[in-house]
Amino acid sequence: MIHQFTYALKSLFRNKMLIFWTFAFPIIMAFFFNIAFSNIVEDEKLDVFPIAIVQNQEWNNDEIFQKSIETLGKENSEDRLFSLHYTANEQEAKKLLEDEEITGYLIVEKEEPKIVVKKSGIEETVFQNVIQEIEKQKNIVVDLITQKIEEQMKQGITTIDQEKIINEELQSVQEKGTYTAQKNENNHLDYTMIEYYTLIAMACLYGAILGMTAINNLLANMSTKGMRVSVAPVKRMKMIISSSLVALVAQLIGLVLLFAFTLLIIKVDYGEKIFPIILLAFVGALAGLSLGVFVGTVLKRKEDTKMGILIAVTMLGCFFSGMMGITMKYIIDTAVPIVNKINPASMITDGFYALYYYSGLERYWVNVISLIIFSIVLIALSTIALRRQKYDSI
Amino acid sequence: MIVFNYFFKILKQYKVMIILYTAILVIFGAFSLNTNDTGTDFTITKPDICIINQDKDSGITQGLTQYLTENANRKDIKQEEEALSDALFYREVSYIITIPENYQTDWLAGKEPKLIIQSNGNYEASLAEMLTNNYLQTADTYRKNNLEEDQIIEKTKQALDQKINIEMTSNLNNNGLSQANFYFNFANYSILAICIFVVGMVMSSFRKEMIKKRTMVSPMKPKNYNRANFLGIIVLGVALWAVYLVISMILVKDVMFTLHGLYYAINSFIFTICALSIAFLIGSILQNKEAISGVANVISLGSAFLCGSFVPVEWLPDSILTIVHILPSYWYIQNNEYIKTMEEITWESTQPFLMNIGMIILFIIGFLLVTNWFSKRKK
Repeated sequence: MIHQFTYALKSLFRNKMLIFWTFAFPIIMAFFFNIAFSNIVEDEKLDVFPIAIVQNQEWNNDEIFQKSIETLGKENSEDRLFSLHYTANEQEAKKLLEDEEITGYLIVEKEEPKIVVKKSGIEETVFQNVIQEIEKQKNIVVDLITQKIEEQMKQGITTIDQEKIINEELQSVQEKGTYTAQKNENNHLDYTMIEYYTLIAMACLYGAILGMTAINNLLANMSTKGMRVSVAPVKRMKMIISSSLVALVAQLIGLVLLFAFTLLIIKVDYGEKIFPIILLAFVGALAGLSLGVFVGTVLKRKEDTKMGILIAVTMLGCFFSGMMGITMKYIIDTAVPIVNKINPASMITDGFYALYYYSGLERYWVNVISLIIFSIVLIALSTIALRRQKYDSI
Repeated sequence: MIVFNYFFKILKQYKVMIILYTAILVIFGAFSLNTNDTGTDFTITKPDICIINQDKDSGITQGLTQYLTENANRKDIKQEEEALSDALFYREVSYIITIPENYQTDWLAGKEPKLIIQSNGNYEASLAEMLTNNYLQTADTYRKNNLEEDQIIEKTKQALDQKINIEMTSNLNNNGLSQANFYFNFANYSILAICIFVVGMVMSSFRKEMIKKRTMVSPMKPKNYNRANFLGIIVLGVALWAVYLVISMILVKDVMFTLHGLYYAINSFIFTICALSIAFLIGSILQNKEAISGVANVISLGSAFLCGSFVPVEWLPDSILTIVHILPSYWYIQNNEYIKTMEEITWESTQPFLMNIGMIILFIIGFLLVTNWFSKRKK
C-alpha cells in the first residue's frame, strides 16, 4: 500500500500544470480579490461629503438654516454629514461643482432654498433630504406658532409673549427622540467574505482535477501507465484507494496553503469555530475528489476533455455561489434554490457563510451533510462503473 | 492563403472558449441594466428596505409605511428569521423595520414605543434611518401639540410632501453612460483573455516542431508565411471587436449611436490591437499550451482586478492605481472613465482622450519591439 502511495504521489507532483492550477491559482486569485474588494465595505458607508453654501444676503439673514447646517458640518461631531465650503457668490460654487470638489451647493433665493447638484445619486439624495428637513422644521414652527397665537387670542389673552412661544416651539421641533431600537446587532456583515469562501470552494473542487489525474493513471483506456498498472497483480481497490488518498493529501496541502495565505496575509474572517472550519474544508475536499473520480471513471473521453469539463463545472458552480458577483448567490438561493442545493461549490460557500454570519450551527450541518451525501453518491456511481472493467485488447 | 485558412481552422477548436467569455460579458452587461433612471431630471435614490408590520394598518403605522413606500423601495422578503438575515447580508435590503404590536395605540398614549431595526450599516441603511426618523419626529412634534390623530397624520404628510427645488447641471445620460462604461470596462477582461488564449494556442500549434520543420522546407517564403499569420491575427482581433461593438449597440443603444459611443468604440479598438500585441508576444515566448492558458488567465484576471474592470475604479486603493500605470489596461479603463464624464465633445475635451490612446499605442509598439527582438534572438 505504501509502495503504491509513494509512486502515485510522485507521478502526481511531476505534473507542473496541475500544481499551478490547484496550488498557485487560488492564491493568485485571493491576492487579486484582496486588491479589488479591500475598500468596498468602507466605501459602502455613508461618509462625510463636501457641499458648498452660497453666502448671499438672504443666507446671512436666515438663522435657522445657518445653525442647522453648522451643526451638521461640525468637525468631530457624531452627527456630522457635510464638510462645508462657503462661497461668496454662486459662480464660485458652480466652479467647485464643475471641478467635482463638492457634491452640490445650497443657495437661498427669494426665501426659497435651492440645491444644485451635478447628477442623481445617494449623496445628492441625502443632501436634498437634509435641506428639506430643515425647511420642514421651519414651516412647522411657523404653523404651530400661528396656531398657538390664534388659540390664545380666542381665549381672550391679549398679552401674548411671542418670543416665548417661538422659543418653545423651536425647541420642541428640534428635539430628537429615539424612535428605533437595534435588534441583536451582528458585526459579521462584510459580504466580500463570500468571495474568499467561493475561492476555498474553487480550490476544493479543483481538487477534482487531482482526483481525475490520479484515476487516469490507473485506467487502461486512458494512459500507457494505466495499461501497465492494469496487468500488474495488484488488487484494483488497493490502487484506487491509494491513488485517491494521494489526491486528497495533495488537495489538503493546497488548502492549508490557501488558508494560511488568506488568514495571515489577507486576514479573511472565517469566524471563531476552528473545528467546524477544518471539518468543512475536509468534507469540501472530499466532494471535490469524488467529483474528479466520478468524471474520471464514468466519462469515456480524452483527458483534455475531462479536464475541460471539470474546470467548466467548477467555474459554473462558483459563479452560482457568488464568485463573479456576490448577489448571484442570493438570487439563485431565493429564485431557484434547487440549483444551489446540488451545487457543491455553493454548499461549501454557504457552510462558511453560516459559520461566519450565524451563531447557530444548524445551517452549517445541513451543508456538511449535503456535501457528504454528494460525495457518497458520486463514489458509489464510480465504483459501479469501475467494477469488472476488463479488456481483452485495447 | 493556405496558412491563413489553416489559422482559422485551428481557431475553430477554441470556439467554446470564445463563446464562454462573450457570454459572461453579455450576462454582466445585461445585469448592469436594471436601474430605471434614464432622464436628465433629478431622481432620488431609494434605499432598499423591508417592513414587517405586526400592528394594525391604521393611524401612525399606516402613515409611516405609506411614507416609506413612497420614498424607499419596499421589498417583499419571506418573513422568516433566516430569510431576513440573508437578505440583509447580501444587501437585498439594507434596513428592516419591524413595527411591533400595538404600536399605534402606545404611540398615541405617549408611551414612546420603539421600532425594531435590523440594519447592515451601509449608506442605504443610513438614508432609510434618516427617512424613518424624519417621519416620526415630525409626527411626534404634532402629537406633543395635542392634535387629533387624523390631524397629526394629515399635517405630517403635508409637512413632508413639501419638496425643495433641486437642479441638475449635467445633461449627460448618466445612466446610459454608466452602463456603457461598465460594459466596456468589463470587455477589458474578455478581450484580453480571448486574444491571449486563442492567439497563443494557434501560434503554439503552428510552432509544433514537426509542423515548423514542414513549413520551413516548403517553397513558401517565410515573409509570406509570416504575413498570412499576422493577417489571421488581425482579422481575428477586428472580428472580435466588431462582435463586441454590435453587442454593445444592442445592450446600450442610446449611448452607442452618439459621439460618446464612437469614442468608446475607438478606445476599445485600440485596446483590442494592444491585446493582440500582448498575445503575439506571449505566443512567441511560450510554446507549452498549458502554460499559455495559465498565463492568459493570470494576465487577464490580474489586469481586470487591478485596473478596475470588475469593480469601480474609485474603489481601488490609490497605491495600486499608481502601480498599475505600467499596464495598458489602466489607460484603457481610465479612458472609458474619462469618456463617461465628457460633458461636451470639443477638440479641447478630446485631447485627454487622445493622450490615453497615445499611451496604449506606445504599449503596442513596445510589445511588438520586444516580440521582434525575442524572435530574432530565438532564431
